[in-house]
Amino acid sequence: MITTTRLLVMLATSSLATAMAADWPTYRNDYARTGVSPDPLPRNLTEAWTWRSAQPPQPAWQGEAKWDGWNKVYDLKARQTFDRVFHAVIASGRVYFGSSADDQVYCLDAKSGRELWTFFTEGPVRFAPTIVNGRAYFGSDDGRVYCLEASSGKVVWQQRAVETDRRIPGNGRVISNWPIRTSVVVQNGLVYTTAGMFPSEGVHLVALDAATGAVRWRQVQNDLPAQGYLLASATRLYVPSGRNNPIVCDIADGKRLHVVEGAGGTYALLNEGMLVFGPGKTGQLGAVEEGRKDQLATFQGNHMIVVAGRSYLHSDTEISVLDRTRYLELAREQKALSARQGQLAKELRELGKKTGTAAEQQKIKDQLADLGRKIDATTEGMNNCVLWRNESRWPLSLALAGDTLVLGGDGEIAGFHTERGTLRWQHKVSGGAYGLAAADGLLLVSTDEGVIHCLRAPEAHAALAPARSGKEVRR
Amino acid sequence: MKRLRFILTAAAVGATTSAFAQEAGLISWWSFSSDRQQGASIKAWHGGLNITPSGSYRFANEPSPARIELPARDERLLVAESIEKALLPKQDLTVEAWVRVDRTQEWGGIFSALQDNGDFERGLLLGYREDRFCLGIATEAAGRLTYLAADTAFATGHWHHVVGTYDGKQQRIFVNGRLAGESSVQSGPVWYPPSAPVVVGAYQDDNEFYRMKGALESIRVFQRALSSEEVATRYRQRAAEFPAPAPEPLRLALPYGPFIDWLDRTTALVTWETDTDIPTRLELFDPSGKTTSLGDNAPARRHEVRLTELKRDTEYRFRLRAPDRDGREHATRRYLFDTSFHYQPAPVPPVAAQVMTGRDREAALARELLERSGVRQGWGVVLGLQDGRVALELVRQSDLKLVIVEADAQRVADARKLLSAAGVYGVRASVQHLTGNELPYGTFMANLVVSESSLHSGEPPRWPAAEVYRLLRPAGGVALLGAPAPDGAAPKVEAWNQWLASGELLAARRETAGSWWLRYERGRLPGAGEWSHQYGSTDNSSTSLDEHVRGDLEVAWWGDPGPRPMPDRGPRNPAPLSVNGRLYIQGDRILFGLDAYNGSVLWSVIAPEVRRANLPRDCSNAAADDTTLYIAHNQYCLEFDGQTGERRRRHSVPPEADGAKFDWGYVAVVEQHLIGSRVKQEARYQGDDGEWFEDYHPDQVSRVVSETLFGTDLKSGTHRWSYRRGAILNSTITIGDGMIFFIESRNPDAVNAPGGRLSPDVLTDTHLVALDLRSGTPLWEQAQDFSKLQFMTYLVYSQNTLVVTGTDKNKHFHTYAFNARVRSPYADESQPVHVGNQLLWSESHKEDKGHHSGHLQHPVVLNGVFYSDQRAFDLKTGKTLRTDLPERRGCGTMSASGNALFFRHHFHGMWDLETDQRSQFEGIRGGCWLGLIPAGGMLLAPESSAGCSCTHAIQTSVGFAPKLRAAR
Repeated sequence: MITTTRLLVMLATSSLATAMAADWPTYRNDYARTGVSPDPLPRNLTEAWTWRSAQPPQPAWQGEAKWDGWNKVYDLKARQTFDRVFHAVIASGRVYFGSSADDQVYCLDAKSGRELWTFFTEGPVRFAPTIVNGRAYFGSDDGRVYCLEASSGKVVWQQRAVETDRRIPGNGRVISNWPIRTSVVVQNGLVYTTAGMFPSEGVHLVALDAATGAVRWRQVQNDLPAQGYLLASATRLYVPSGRNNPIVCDIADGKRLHVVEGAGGTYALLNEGMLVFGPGKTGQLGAVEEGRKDQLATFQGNHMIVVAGRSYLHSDTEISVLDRTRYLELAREQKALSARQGQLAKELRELGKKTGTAAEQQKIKDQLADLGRKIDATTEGMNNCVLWRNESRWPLSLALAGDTLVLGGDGEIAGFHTERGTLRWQHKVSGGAYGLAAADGLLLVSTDEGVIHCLRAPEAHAALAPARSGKEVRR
Repeated sequence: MKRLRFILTAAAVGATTSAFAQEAGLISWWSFSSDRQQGASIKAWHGGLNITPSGSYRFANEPSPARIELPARDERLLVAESIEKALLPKQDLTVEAWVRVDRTQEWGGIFSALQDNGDFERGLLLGYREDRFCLGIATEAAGRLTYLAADTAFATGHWHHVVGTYDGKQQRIFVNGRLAGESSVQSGPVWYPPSAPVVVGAYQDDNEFYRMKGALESIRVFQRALSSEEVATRYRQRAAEFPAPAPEPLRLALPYGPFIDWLDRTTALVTWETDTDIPTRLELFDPSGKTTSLGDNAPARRHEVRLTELKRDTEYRFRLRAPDRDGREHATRRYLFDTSFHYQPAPVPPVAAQVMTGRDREAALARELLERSGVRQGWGVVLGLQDGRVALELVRQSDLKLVIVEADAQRVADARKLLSAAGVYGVRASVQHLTGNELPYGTFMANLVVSESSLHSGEPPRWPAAEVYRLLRPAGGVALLGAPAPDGAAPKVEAWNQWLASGELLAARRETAGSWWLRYERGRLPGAGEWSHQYGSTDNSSTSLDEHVRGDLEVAWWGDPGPRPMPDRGPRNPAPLSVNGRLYIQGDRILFGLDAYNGSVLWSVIAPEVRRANLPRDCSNAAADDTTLYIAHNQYCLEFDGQTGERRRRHSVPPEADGAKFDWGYVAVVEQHLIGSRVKQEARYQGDDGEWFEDYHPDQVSRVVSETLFGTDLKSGTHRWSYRRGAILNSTITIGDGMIFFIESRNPDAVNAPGGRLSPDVLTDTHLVALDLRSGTPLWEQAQDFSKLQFMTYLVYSQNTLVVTGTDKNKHFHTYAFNARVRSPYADESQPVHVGNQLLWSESHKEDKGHHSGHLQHPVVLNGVFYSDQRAFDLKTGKTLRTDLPERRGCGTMSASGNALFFRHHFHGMWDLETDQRSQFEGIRGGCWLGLIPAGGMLLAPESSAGCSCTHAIQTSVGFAPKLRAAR
């Protein structure tokens, strides 16, 4: 029987379907950025190989301010950061990732970690490639979109997303005035991406022919940047905009439909048309239903996995699971009640101004009190939607492989049982584990020290070929 | 040993477990030692209700007792989201705590499970109100909460045993074993609200959250009311574990430092000085709570400590301790040291040396290039490759970052391979494959242009000399091209002559001593302005008169610093400065020197004592000239080398006969004169509470005043003159045309006031004074009533006119313009004598803006027009010229080039005076004072919006350039 989870993943990644089922061909596995792999992980993961960069990742942005002095909010979350590590993808037994340190895209043999090919761009590569139909697509801070043969690294085409070639110092490097600061999405025979960061310079949303790189359409925006991994459904493109809120566009022509409301951030995922994004100022994810701008619900946390009516919520200190269906029902109910409450409060104020009768005022007060009780009840109900929760000291990343939730932390990762919420295993890594990818029984962990750890069952790497690489590859 | 410790611990746990088993009625017990934190929870000793902590709490086990420290910032210790889950007793209960409260407040909580919202009052609180512990309980019978307060005040900073009991009839509060209050107002079961969080260390309900500043050792909840005897016994049994606090060390005031300089990515040097030869030590607190004492015990004045094995992206704190002659301990406050504030170029890995083994010639060539050019920082462009080895050596031997341009694909591939193998590709050097004749790089981007291919071929690079010139940064960008004899190819002189004929490099100097070189150093950009002082120049006119910054602008560079090292945007922070192609930025106790044309961070130094805020009531602490950044720091004005950040000379405030100590207040540099002022110590505002300083409150509008103004000759470093009479308002000190102007109060209450920060009510008997810049000789003075200027007092000078402006309590602007000129003692005798201090015009109006500190706006004077609030006036006559200045949504204030005004609107805003066009740079904005400076032909916009609650999409430092100039 096909599970709901698997079905959702397949729907969201229809253009990735030609990749092998046991792949993780794009950032967080699909264009919904679900972070879910149906492939289970072995219980006895051990390190197969380690790849280490000569220089650590060079994120474009250093981090948020320390505090908001006016509102006395401390430890603000980084809303502009998306490239702390070299995020990796897996396709057809190969591992691909780009480097913000040395401007290259790497292809390694998944079994051995052996370097198969590398490709130089002319700027930092801040986003993971996407592998579709045997081709690797990616963008670079050099302002170009590239299509390579995934097996050999040979160029199929490359295209400057904005015709003008202007290169200036940006984020410590000399890069295009219109860097590719979102990933690519390859769907419907087109490659969707954005180029540009400063709205005053023009930020271009473009669709390129996946076979030739020719520009099919272009939209230019002059109010918001484009920064963060693009998301896509069958009909929509979702463009994160750094500290601001994601922009929703029609995938047919790129025209803007609206900008959703929220507290900003580049982390985002889609589930059945619902966009969840954050982390806002304080580590909060907002959920916006398809076709709407306003938020339906908010969740205290930095990451989320959604499967089969459940939401796994990951905060700085906790991993928990919600009955998502019930939670959203209650959230809708509460939103309606709150709207009614606001309306009645306004009526009460107006009555006060008009010297309304005491009886009229009392009636509204009674209604408000009743609404308050109902809102409390929905709050309590939402609190009761937590099926399990467990403490977590691995706050940096979250992925799901089979029935194991993988949590990335500082110097360590951990696996939790999805049903019981119990800790299954822990594994030491070098640095902060901000990047996770899982497929075919293999787990890749990318850290902020520029290390990629490959973990798998011990028997799977018992007899591997020796590594051959200029970089340090350890087994 | 570890095993033994484990056994002992296990035994202790066993003993404790049996002990609490005997505590009848105990239902919850939390002990706040660090070993109780397990994962994300603080494990309960008893009862199973673990606490979920968040925010800025900290465990401290030493000195005893082990405790959790609560700073009252953003921390929360959550027992349960709902009272129902906390299973609190409804009748017959006791809450017992060992607590240390460090600050009294109107409402404080130790154990909170309540809602007190208007008429809705339910629940339970063990806490405090002001300086009295209290027990709050609501029952249905009383229908409300009553807070039973203890009969005596508690001492802040001391440990107390606080117990609240309730038995369904009597509500009691005990402090240190003694019954301190009793009430029978409540009866029956406790009436808990249907929903309320249960927290410790705070008072929290749905609409209020009052955090406790202090510490908790333990909290217990019993399902019975302990008797008075039991409480007294429990106190006696443990009282000895809670000694009175050791006396806080006296404050250690350092005359100099501390400063933190990075030696490499994991090593930093901390330096400081003391007034006398004493031993001092550095206490380093790492985030885990570990404290390390560093330093030696040898008496000295100059001290330094090397911090090693520093973790990346970690917030350390440290303080400096020293005994005085009587052996009493003194300590500085705790300083923050964030190791993410590291801005040096990526280091070259050791493997690079292996790559270069046996390639001495390339190393020598690179050395010669660096020595001849004199450029070692910023962006270098290499036009044409041989094999990449000279480029690699340039990176190894300097702090340069390189863009290497080559038309031949194979050479590109080979050089990439080489530089990648050396571990520097990308972060320090990248190779770009370009076959056209034009270079795609931004105008003024390069500090250095060289050619590796020319070194070998003797031919000029394939890209034209005009392009080389275009790339060179003004004010010091160097092109160094050549064919060094003897083992290089002979220079193709005719080819070079042809190449040079195509552009401005024709003036290049040919250096032929032992080799053949063309060296061209680009001069300053004619017509470019400078921003050397807070409001542009010493005349406070807020304009640089830069002729280039006009029309359409585009991004020329962006990058560090971002928001993290910057102060919160609110507290009216000092402006950035830019002189001679460098940009100086003050972060939150960190200083930056950048290349203004390409954004390269040339240097940074962490300086925990360098901070000033509330500029509307003070002057800036910074000034700059061609070579130097001057920073007021305690009693000194320090000189920082503009290019390297090296601390060079320091100038001291004039000493006082009685040995009283003062800080350096005002700082200005005019020609070779360093003008300073002396302020009382601790007078400056620092804005550490995120204040906006926009309300009429003494804490916000009191003026920082100087009691002495003085001049120092910079060449000799000698003190030349001092002026001392009234209390000088720092915000009014202005210099123009060889004169110094200011407003001072001669009210004896102001002059003799003990503090250096005075309320406008005291600053009466005001005089506008003019001194001669060189001698300090008074030129004229004018008694004038400026009492209407209550919020702030500004003074600007332009075209022989002085304008004083400010707002009253009702936010009405009042402006007074005076004739400023007198005949200078140094002027030609034939010049007519002018009499100053004549009132030319005055004007009053209600502020137009009405929001975001419109009443605090600093004026701009440009081309004979006085721009203030939303209006423009003729400088000489006061005639209103227009009342439609661009809307300025944000809280910043304006600056100007020769042709445009800049300000914060929703985003960085610009008003082009030539076209009357108003524009914004969407997505990016500044802070709450002057942050956009037109200088050197650039509009410089260092990040200053840190902490802004808005979701503007980008937070970064940016340099904008005119589009016409920046053709690419």
